[in-house]
Amino acid sequence: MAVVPLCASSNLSSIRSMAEGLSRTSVPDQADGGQGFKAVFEQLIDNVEETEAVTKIDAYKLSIGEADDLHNMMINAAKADIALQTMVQIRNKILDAYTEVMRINL
Amino acid sequence: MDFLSALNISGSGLTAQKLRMDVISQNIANAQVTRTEKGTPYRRKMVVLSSIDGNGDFQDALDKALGRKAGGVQVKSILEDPSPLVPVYDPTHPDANDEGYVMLPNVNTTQEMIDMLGASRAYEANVTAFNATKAMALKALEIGR
Repeated sequence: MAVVPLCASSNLSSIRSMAEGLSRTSVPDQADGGQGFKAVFEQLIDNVEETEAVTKIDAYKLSIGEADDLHNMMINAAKADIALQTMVQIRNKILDAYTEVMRINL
Repeated sequence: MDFLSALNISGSGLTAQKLRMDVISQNIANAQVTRTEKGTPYRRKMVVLSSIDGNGDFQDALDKALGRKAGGVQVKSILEDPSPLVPVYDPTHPDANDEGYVMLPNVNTTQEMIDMLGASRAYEANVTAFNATKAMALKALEIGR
């Protein structure tokens, strides 16, 4: 299952975020036996953390009075919101699939 | 193009309109300035916008291939309005010439007000487009629920 990474548009260090984006683009390894759910979860959480880190930096900047672009802060907050909601929805889907598998009678 | 980079299109529009607003404020604030750093009266500034459609370099091609290319708008340049300055007869003014005329900036406050209205509405339009994109993304999450 390929999950498209939610790349944060950080204007702090574009190279770093690009490198991270590239490393996270890798589809979770399905051949590692039993790690499928875990890998997808970890990738999702990584993505959400990355997106929310930008919002955290924005909140800090706002608190020290360096809010030069208010709309970009709101955009980053909206992105974090979408990323989180996507994670929650995909988690629900995966948990549904997981419980369905666990319900199989042996 | 994923939803998050689609949001950047509206973001660039917001940034561009905010800069337009800044330039209009600058014009209004300097509407009576007869001497700038160059020694000449202030001239009205205009913002030139251009769309982002890539410069065809490697990074551009890579982004396009990965579907990361979001597009949007960018400020190309800020130009000075070349239209003539407004002469006003005021011999007591320190910057008056030999005939008693002061050259005032070519800023028409009415025109600036209209431009301000335009920038403000365009900003609102970008916010609306942003919200629509976000609503679309959140709606997509409801598929199959």
